[in-house]
Amino acid sequence: MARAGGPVTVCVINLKGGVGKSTISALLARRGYTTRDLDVLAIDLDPQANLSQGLMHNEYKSFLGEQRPSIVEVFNGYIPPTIAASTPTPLPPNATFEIVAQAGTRSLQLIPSRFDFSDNLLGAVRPDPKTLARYLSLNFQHKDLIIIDCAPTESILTTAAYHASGNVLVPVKPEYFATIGFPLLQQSLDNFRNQNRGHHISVAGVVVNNAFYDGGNNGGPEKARAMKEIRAESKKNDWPMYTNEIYHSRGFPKIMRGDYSYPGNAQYFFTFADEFFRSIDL
Amino acid sequence: MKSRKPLLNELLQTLVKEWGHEEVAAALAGTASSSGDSPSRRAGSSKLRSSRERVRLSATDQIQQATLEGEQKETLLQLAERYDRKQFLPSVADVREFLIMMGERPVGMKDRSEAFRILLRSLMRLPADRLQQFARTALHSGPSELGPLSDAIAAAGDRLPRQRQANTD
Repeated sequence: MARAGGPVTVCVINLKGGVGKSTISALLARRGYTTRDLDVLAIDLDPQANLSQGLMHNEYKSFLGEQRPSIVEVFNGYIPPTIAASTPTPLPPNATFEIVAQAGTRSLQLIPSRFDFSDNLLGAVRPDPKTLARYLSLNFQHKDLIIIDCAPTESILTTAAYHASGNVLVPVKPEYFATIGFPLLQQSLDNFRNQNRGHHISVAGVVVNNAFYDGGNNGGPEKARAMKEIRAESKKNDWPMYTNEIYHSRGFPKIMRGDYSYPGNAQYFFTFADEFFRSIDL
Repeated sequence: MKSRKPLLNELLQTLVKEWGHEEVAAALAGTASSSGDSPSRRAGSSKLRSSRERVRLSATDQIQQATLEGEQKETLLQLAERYDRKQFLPSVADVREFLIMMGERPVGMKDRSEAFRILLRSLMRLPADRLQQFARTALHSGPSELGPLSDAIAAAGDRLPRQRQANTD
């Protein structure tokens, strides 16, 4: 059943790469669906399409080969001509996109990305950054949770993610250059708020994605230095920090590949996930 | 009265896992002859053996023997064949994850061939279109193989220059 206030939409962003945005997006989407019984939509706004591959696995190959609808078509507003239909066709309002999992009336759906996404948009006359928000407001009000995985560079896609979201989740790795993306992100959010006064968007929290092996080595002085900087920068921006860190684990890349055999410390992802869902009232 | 057959099956499975089917069957035959077992009880043992054999049926055989028909049976057969070839849910961990994604809470599932029986119950509840989607797609074909994915990305990339060329013409 749809939530009374519509879906909670969260964009996962850090204007620094390699902090685990796609992995965290995929795991939160899956966990929201499996253990919180939520109706979930995941959106891949990154042309690298790692979230898409992490949720679709081998099926991503068929998606590309069959040229099925993606985020590109959402922004374009139509499906281009195919062998079957030699004219552009409207994107159906109830386009199902990819159904990763389904149980009764709930599902975990994905609007996947393609590597030519940014290329496709840049080639167009300035795309409207409100397109995604408009599309979601018309077609996905029945969802409980919408998770948007953003690209690490600021572009029109970042603005599109802000327009579609009420919450921001910021993953960070406690390592050298940890907070390099923070001032950029704060500036980017401030600019957006100034230009869109009626839009409420807040940082739900900063989550530490531990880069260090914890079997006797939890990062030592380097992690301590980075953590100090993360805390200071978060406080400066008035961003809350999650109490639970995400443990370092080789299980995460395995899960993203679709190998569920032995998750290792990745099984403790729930400690952060539960705190996250509580923070956004889900 | 509750049937004791499942308990007997479980005990037999343990024995077969440890000593193998032939050795257990031979031992049972020996026990029967030494204890002067009646023909009716021997027949009972034989029934249990065939029950044990059913446990080891392939996924395809299970579908063939199930009371299914029409499109549902056809689709389930396709899936079962892929399951037997390990092209659909290739490990027991995949089956467990699949069931979790179907909204179930599988516990104590350790053997892939045994798991199909549980999986089948879930698959039979699915609407036809969803079932066909599983049969048609590689959504649950196990861990990503990056080679074919790279090829698909390259093939999609090959299409782009021609499109760009066409745009500039």
